[in-house]
Amino acid sequence: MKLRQRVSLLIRGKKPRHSGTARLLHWLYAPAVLGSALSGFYIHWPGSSLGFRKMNTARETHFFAQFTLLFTYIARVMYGLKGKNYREILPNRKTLSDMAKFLKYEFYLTDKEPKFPKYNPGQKVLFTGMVLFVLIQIITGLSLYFPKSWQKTAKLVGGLNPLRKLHFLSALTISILVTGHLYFVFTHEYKKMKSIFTGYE
Amino acid sequence: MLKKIVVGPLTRANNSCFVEVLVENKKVVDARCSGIFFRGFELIMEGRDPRDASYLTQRICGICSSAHGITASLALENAAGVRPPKNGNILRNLIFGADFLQNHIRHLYLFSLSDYITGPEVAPFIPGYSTDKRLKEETNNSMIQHIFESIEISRLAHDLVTLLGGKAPFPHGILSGGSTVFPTADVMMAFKSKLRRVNDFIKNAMLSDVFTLAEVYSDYYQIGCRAPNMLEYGIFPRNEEEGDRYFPGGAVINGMLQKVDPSVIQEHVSKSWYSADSESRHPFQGKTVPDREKEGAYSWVKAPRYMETPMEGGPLAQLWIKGDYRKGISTMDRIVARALVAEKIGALMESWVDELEPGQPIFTPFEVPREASGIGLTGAMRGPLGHWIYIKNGRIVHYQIITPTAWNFSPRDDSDRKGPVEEALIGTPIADESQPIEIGRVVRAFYVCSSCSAQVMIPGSPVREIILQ
Amino acid sequence: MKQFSKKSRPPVIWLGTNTCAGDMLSLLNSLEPGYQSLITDLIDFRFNYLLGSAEGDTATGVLKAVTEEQRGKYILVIEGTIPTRTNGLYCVVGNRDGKPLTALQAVRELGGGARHVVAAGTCASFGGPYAAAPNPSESVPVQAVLDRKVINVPGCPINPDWMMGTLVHLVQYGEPELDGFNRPKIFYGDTIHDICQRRAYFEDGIFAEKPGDPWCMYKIGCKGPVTYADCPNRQWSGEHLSWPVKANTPCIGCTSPEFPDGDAPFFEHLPDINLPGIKISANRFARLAGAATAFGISIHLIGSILTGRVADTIKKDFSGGISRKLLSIIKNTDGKRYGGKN
Repeated sequence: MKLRQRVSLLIRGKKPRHSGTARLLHWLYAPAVLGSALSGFYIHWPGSSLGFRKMNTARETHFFAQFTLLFTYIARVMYGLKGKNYREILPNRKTLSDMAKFLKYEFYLTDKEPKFPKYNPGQKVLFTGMVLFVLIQIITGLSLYFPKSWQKTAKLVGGLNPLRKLHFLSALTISILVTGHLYFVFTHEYKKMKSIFTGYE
Repeated sequence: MLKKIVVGPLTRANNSCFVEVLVENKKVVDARCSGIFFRGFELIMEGRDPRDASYLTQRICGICSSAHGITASLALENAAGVRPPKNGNILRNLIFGADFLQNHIRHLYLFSLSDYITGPEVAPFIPGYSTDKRLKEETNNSMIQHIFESIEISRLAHDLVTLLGGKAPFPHGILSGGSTVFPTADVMMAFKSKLRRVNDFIKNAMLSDVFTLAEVYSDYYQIGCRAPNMLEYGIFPRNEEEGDRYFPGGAVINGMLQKVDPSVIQEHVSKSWYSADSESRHPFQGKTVPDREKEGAYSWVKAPRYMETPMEGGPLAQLWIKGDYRKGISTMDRIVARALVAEKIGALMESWVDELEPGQPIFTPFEVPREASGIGLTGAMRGPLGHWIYIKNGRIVHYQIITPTAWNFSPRDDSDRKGPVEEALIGTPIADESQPIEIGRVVRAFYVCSSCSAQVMIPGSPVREIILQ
Repeated sequence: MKQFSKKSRPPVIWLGTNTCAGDMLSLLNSLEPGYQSLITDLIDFRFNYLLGSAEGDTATGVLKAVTEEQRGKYILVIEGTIPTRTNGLYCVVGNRDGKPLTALQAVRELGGGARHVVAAGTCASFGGPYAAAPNPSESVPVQAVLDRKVINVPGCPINPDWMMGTLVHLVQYGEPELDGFNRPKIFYGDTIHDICQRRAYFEDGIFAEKPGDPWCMYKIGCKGPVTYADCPNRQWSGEHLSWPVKANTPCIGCTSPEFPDGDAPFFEHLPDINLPGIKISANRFARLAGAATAFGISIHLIGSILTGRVADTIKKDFSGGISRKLLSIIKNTDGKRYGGKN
């Protein structure tokens, strides 16, 4: 097939799997999450294994990453609401029954791969989890960043120590979710992985 | 005719306590001592990191905090099988010793002395009893002067604790494994010169004031007497080996000195506000649930007994067992012994400073054992103090504390035998029933510390029984 | 004697409830002004549970007299938590009409008529060690039993200056500026971490590995970053000689409302995680969670390899060459497998 043909096929082809905006935001918040996690874990437990030598580097990275994450998060939520594509992400009534089928396949109880719309129940839980925990991260993070003006948040959870614990546990959860995400990405259907770069499968 | 007198609150006892006596023909014929508050520290210790014990248990008592720090450190060291290096041991002894000085000075001048002198004419020294104040005006005024000086000096003693411990009360420098401030020349120079000032005060003011009291109130050699039943675990480990102490331990039963055997200690609760489990127990098995409405009980303090005997602890017992003072066992002997012990400890501390070796280690790192049990025993300001720790999965599952004041201020036991303070109160003459000043004199000479007495209780959940076979 | 302040000395009641007396003893360590100056120049120390000469009914009589004669004028200082179990009988402060007067009752009555109520120490301010889990005496802080503002001066114990400074402020200028936890901002305005002498070690990554190391205590559990107090500047005690980090030990966060449950273990960076029936340190929890994740993924991966799914995926997506695959995507010939994972 000639290149021109391919391009023309692409242009008049169906709707992309991931829109340009979604892809742009994904590639903004992906490194932001990674940067936040690495610098955050360094701040939690300083050591050379995380790639930082000095606290200030980690803190600046965290600062830059956290605000990138904050703004892209807000943008992504707004975009999700505007295009109603949050419906593809959030679990619905059907997710529960789908989940049984999905788990059956993933736990090798059946070889028949169930079909789902854009995202399977596992992805839905994964992505919704990230939406929730990033929100917790933003709130606890800002309270730790502005401890004086956000003292009410600290009061709500009983002090700065519990707040710090919450921030840490939430970071841990996000890291696990991201790990799970990456695992599935690298072991299941590379054409879908491609679509987050190109938009198309 | 019997008359009941209740002194409640009996103040100046490091928080307050209640004492109730029956008086007949102006003499006490019966006495009951009550600890009036409950905290349940042993319950609070469960589930915690064993390393926290040396800091957290200090919160039991504000005036003798370091004693709990030392005992908790010894208990965990015993469980983990470590000892502090030589320097660490000396530094801990120095912090503990400085707290001893602070405690004894404050106990005499701020807690006890108001029972013997008039004034000063400023609240909270007024109002007070006016009866039986025998000192000449000149002597009285000089003691008032010493009260205010003693505040300076006891502050200085607490600053000694701060120098090596970071803060006072509740110094951080006492922890399992040793101590944390390097004995550099500048620190030790400051320490020694402050210590000398404290020692000067003890020699020049405290001892002479105590001897004056002993002379003027010599009848108190016959008041507050009891049989020579005393217990001490020994204070200040001499070197890295824990057992050998500068003040040796010992148990005196009817005047006979013997070696201490912690396994014969039992705690009774029949007259204490803990649910009806009348069986007496060894501290490793101690268990009780608080029950404030229990019939016949009258105190939060439990009744520890050594071979079924109520034992007295404190400076008098410490000197008696050491062999330095065996004149008698009375209110005035207790007061004199306190000043003498302060002088001895102050002198010892000066020699310890010179034994320090700058540059040598002060802390031995160690791993908290996954499962172990340990005992920490030391003499404290008011008598024998013991912590029993049981660790499982690296956490405390059982913690038991028997404080000096539990020994001294204990209520009656299962066989209705009185506690030491109750025993000592019997026979005390009460001249003026509306101003029973004699009661306070007898009780305070015992170095009662209500804070220490009132947390002695043990958990009740059945899980612990399995562990404590 | 010359008055310390031009204002007249207000009467002060210092009541001890469930306490170790450490805060009053710490106040005695004040250097300037000292205790003598405090009681003669600054305040009229009418009642003090620890140092008052009065005992028994004389003592409770003083309490009664001050509350009746000086209503609205006296400063009430409470040291200790207030047990509520069995109607407060877990702490008795005196006798009244032959019945025990509980701390709970006394604080409620005295609190009503006071000009200011000050909670001295972490126990009175926030509950502290005596209200720590499982809180056997069911103790609560002063603010929980009073319907009015309580000025919290936490610390275990209080630094003498914090209490003395608050008292002077109350006598001279009235109520000091307070933060969200009602702590005077002059003493609790910054975190320990922000004013710590060893901050440079923290920045450069030089950390103590055990107590007694002269570097940053962050990795052995220092709670300085989340503790508001001026210890590094003010230091302890009377002569301002040292403080826990200077003594090469971690700050344990004793001025925080969550002390000690919310910040223990003291030698761990993060507080314990409470799982049902067991407490576990945060780092251990993280290691376990990480290990569980790695384990889960490995098992799944092994499963996928053994069942041939990985091979299928690779074959399907790479064997056909880019152009054929592109076509198949567009034509949706592979549409059977619609939902994938990425």
